[in-house]
This record gives sequence, structure tokens and C-alpha cells, in this order.
Amino acid sequence: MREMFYRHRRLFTILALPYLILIVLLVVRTDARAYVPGDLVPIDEVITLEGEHVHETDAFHSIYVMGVDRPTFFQRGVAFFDGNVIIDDLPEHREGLSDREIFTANQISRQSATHAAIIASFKAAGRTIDYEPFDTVRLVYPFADTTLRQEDELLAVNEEDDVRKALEEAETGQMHTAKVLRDGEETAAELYRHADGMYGLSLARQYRITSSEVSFKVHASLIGGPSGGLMQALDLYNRLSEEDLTQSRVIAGTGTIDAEGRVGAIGGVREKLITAVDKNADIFFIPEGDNHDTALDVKREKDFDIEIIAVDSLHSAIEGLKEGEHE
Amino acid sequence: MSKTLRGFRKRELFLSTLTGFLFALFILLPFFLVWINLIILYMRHAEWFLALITLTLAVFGYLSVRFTHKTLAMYRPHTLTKRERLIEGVSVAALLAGAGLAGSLYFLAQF
Repeated sequence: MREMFYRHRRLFTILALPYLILIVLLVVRTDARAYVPGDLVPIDEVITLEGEHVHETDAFHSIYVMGVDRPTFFQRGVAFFDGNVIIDDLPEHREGLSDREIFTANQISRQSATHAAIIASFKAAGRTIDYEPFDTVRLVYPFADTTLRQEDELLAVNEEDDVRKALEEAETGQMHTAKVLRDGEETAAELYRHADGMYGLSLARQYRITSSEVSFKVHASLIGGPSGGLMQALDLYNRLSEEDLTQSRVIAGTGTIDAEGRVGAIGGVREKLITAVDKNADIFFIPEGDNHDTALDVKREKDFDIEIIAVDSLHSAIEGLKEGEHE
Repeated sequence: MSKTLRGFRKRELFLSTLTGFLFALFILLPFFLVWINLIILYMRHAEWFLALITLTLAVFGYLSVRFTHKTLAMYRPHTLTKRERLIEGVSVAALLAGAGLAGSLYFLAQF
């Protein structure tokens, strides 16, 4: 082997530095976040309904964009030449977290949003559904002083069943106790409330659906995050109701939703709108407020031909679809 | 000293294979890293970059065998015919391409 290296030592010497630089550019990650246009996801591939009085449609789509945490120098270079890839600062709350933790957190958010969408749509369509809300640890930040783990289900804090109330009322500068369900077993944990009131935890409101008039199945996916909630709820409402609101249109959109049907803001609006137009969507649903303003700016900038409907609830989304409100 | 495959000693075979592998890796590592970088960035076009990875794997297999034979030739010149070297290189390239294809299909099936 040594002889082989000696024979080519001139080549190795000349290439060594540029080679090392190239490897560094391809391997070393930077403190930034890249947003890349993704694709439309038909809702009927995410949730299937089984039962009578359910009509199927493939008109509704949620949109995913790829968020790449800590892109390499090479990826940033590619983004520089690709106008559709946006490089932004790495959100402060993501620093110090592994890719695995963020993936799991996104899966928890997705599960939470999907169940909220099912509940909100069943309620809007007048179908019966029973559920119990509970809280799960979505993320444990590096500065947290706790024995809680990601995916722990919080049963009680300081022996109080109302977990959110107990966390709000707990004294700062002290360690508190929690009862959690971890891997199917009850166990005890501790959590410290810092002087500024922070715990270093992110909780997700989850829903355990105990019974429903129409049975459903949620399919697993590698795509995480809560932003598909609004479109899932709208699609399910359409499938559960008498009339078909789609009128052969390709309907895309984004926004979180809770069990009461309230719509919340999301990130990556620019890339999601670009993706929707790229995939020939006719309508784009977007949460009211800053998200809507951004979408209108992008539409003007790129001269897109797409109908943008701003909504603050599932009810307003349904009305918007019926009336076809413009901007 | 005991002789093994085609009259080469075990140590000679081992060192030559390792040299071939490392040389091929040295040349193709940047390519693999570029494709992986692009897959992460453009997941929706993953199939194209997986195809490129599969192709690079095939080239890697061929180069690895070629460099192995070059090193072996330093121990015993003209031990292997050109045809034998070609058959071995193409076989390893096909084997790695097959593995790359299977891995790519498995990866795509996750979506």
C-alpha cells in the first residue's frame, strides 16, 4: 500500500488542500435553516374514513416544505443559486437539539394536529366523537433541569391533574414533581422552574379519541409538523357532509388547527405557496394575519394565478370554500 | 509461506484490497457527499440523486477492483489477464449497483 502511495505522492500533495477544503464544505454544518419547496400531500392518503354517508375526494391537499436545519456550506452555496431555497437564521429554540429530537417533536405535532383536525371536522359536520385531551412532552431544551423525557405523557404535576394549571401556578426557583406515563408505565419525574418562569419544555396538547360515529385510520408518514391540520379538517368535513364543496378544484392550504376549530399561524409560507402553484392548485388557504400578508406579497412578486383565502377558523374556511372569497 | 488465491499470500491480498478500497474511496467520497447533500436539500427529487448514488457505487466497485489489481501487480506482475480483471471489476460494480438500487427502493418506499 505504501508503494502505491509513494508512486502517486505528487498527485496526493497537489490535491490534498483542495480536497480537504471540499470535504469541509460538504460536511461542516452551519447555524442556519434552509427552506425548500416540497410537495402537495392528498389528505385521503393521510386519513381514511370508513362508514356510511362518507364520500371520497382527492381534491384537498396539505403542503409540506422541507426545513433543513444546519445546512452545510455546500448546501448554502446551492441555495444561493436556487432562488426558491431560502436560507434563514436557525431559530433560537432549535439550537442544541439533535435532528432526532426535532424529528420526534415534529411527529408529535403532526399526531396532535391530525387528531385535532378529526375532532374539529366531526364537530363541524355534526357527527359524534368522544375524546380526552392530555399533554405530552414535545421537546426538552438543553437548559431544562428535569428528568422528564420527550414523549412522556404528563398525568399530574405537584399531584394536580390539571397539568397546565399546575405548571402555571408552580413556584419559580424550585423543583417540582410530576407523574408521567413513559413507555406504558407510570413513573415519577422532576422538573425545575427557572426564575424567569421557564421550564425548558415544550408541551403538545394531544387527544385520545375514545369513540367516533365514523371510524377512521391515520396513516404513518415521515412528514411531520402541525401545519397540515387545517386542510385535514376541511377535507374530513367535506367527506362527512352531504354536499361536495370541491367543485373539481385542486385545493391546497396550510395552517394549524385545534379541537375547537381555531386556525393558527405556520412557517414557510413562501415555499408553500410556490409549491402549491407549481403543483397547479386552484385555491390556497392560509391563516389570517402575517401569514396572509406574506402570501399576498409572494403572489404579487411572482405574479401567481391562484386564489388565496385567509381564514381564522374551520368555519371560515368552509364558508370561504362555499363562497370562493377572493383575498 | 502459504499461498492462497492465484498464488498471492493472504497478507498481499488483504493489503491490495484495502489499498484499492481506500483509493476508490478517496476519489469518490466527494461525489457521495455531494449527492447526500443534495438529497437532504431536495428530498422531493430524491430518486434522481439515489440513481446517481447507485451509479457512483458501481463506479466505486469497479475502481476499487481496478486499484486492487494494480497493487497486486506490484507483488506479481502479469498474474491476472486483462479479461479476468475486467470480469471481476464489472461483477463487483454490478453487485454494488444492485445493493444501491435495493437500498434506494427501500428508501423511496418510506415516503
